[in-house]
Amino acid sequence: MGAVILGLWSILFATSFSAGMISAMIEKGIRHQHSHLQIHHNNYQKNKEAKHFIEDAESILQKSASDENIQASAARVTTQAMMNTTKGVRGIQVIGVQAEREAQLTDIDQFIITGKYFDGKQRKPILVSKGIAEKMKLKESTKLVLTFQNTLGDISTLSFRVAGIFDTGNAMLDDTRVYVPFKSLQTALGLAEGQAHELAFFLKDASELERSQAALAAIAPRLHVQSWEDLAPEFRVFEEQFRISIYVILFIIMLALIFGIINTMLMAVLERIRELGMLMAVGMNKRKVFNMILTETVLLTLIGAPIGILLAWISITFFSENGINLGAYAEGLSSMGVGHIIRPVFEPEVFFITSIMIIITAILAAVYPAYKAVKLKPVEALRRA
Amino acid sequence: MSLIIDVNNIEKTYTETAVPVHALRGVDLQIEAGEFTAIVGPSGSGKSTLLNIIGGLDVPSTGSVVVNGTDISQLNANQLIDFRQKNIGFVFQAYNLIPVLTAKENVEFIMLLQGRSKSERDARVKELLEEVGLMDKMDNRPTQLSGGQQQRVAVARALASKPSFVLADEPTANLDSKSTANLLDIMLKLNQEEGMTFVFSTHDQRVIDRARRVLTLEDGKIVSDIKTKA
Repeated sequence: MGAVILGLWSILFATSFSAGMISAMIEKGIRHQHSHLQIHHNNYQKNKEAKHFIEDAESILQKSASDENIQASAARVTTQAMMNTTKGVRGIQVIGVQAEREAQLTDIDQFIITGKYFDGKQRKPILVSKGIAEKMKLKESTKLVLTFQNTLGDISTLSFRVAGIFDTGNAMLDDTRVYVPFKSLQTALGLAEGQAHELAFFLKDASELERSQAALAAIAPRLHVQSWEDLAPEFRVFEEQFRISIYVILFIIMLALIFGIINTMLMAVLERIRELGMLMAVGMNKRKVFNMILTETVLLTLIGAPIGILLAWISITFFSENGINLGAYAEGLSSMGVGHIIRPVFEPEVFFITSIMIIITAILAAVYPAYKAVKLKPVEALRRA
Repeated sequence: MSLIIDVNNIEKTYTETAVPVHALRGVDLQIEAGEFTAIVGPSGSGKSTLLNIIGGLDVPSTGSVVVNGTDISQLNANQLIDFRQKNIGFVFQAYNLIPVLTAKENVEFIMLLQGRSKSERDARVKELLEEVGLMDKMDNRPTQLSGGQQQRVAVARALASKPSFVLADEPTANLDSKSTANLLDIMLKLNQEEGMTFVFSTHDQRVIDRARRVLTLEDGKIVSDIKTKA
């Protein structure tokens, strides 16, 4: 019974844990990185050049405000640049953001660990990630120079001073980008007022995604409107990988459970050889003996399974409220885009399927001991001391 | 008196061992209804083997065993189980009660196997436990009973299915004198008042003294057959 309780608990907890991890990753990715929907110039995703910009970006943003499902939105200008500091040179994606709108959209202002977010008063401010700051030995107020191509194909150079250092917890992404004020990059790239490369939208209700996507497509018919699923196909890959690893874990636990039950029931048969011999001697037929062992196993499982489910439910509920702090692995998790607090997710259908599987496994595992019991000869069984 | 057990020239040889063991070497035996028969003999003389063969728990190598007109050496395993359930009551040396069941349930379950109704079972359990003097212990588990009491429950269980005879393999081997006397009183009473046939193997002189027929086995053969009382 212990095997059933432990097996069921561990399977349920492991699946909930990884489901929590995946959904945290996706949620975080949407909240801080991709938003639910993005609009680009039709050629932008193929070739991220400055010349593929949205002509009427600002007016699309204004029009989109009529969709009540849009909670936050912002325009961005972006370009690839070379970043020069006294310590060296590296390639980087420069993103020009609308300070207030971007803060509402991606909470980037919440992730400043040193210095300040754009406040409109700083001179030529730039935000760099913690990783870049460390590698390039950048501190608050350190000067750096960005060199990039503008929409006309000319080389432009802009100098900045580090205003703040950010850390979103997703080091993999953070270290590829720097943030500068929208206006300065827009001008430097040679874009006019109201033009931008990217529009991003965060929705109130994600289940209405398709409707909002269609609404935006209607406002911007000649542009490319994409959902987060198109923008981040890697999330699906991660999800698949997690599922596969869960199936492997499930298989191993089931295997352990089968052996646990075979062992327990075989002991139950061996300990009661004389009793079984007596039962067969006085007239209990083989079918009844077989059914008896099977019934015992099913009953043990039926008692064990609800306890396992209850324990799993309690621990999942507890940890989904309080979170599991994997601070020790924060760096590894962060590189995968997952925070170090994992909240397991309760998935009713997983509970149902796993419970049924455990019960079936238990019955299958009981067949061998029951077969052994049936094969006993009463006269020999009765002779055992 | 009608013949209920008819053993004809049976031999039993165990060949599983390196050297074949001849447990029975040509045994002929007839037992009539209402007998109270002891099979005696030293260890290894073949008492238990003979009892097992009569009880359909083992099969002879040669010869036939006819019980109540049925040649049980011709029955298959399932038919034998069914035959035992309907015709034979067993009492074992080590009682072999089911530890998790009460005295009442131990007596009752064989009737459950026979598919008897609840009212019939209750009445029979009451009747039997009264006969073996354990009405006040009917809700006790085997661990709460003395050896003698457990063996009396075992006798009640053996009778529950209304068998035509009871086979008892050294029923008093684990009992003290008082319990032995008590058990024998009960078995004799059942034999005399209800005509129940008892066949038992024993070493116990106290049992032999009270048996009405004593068969002595030596080296797998019956060497004496004494009817002590009418």
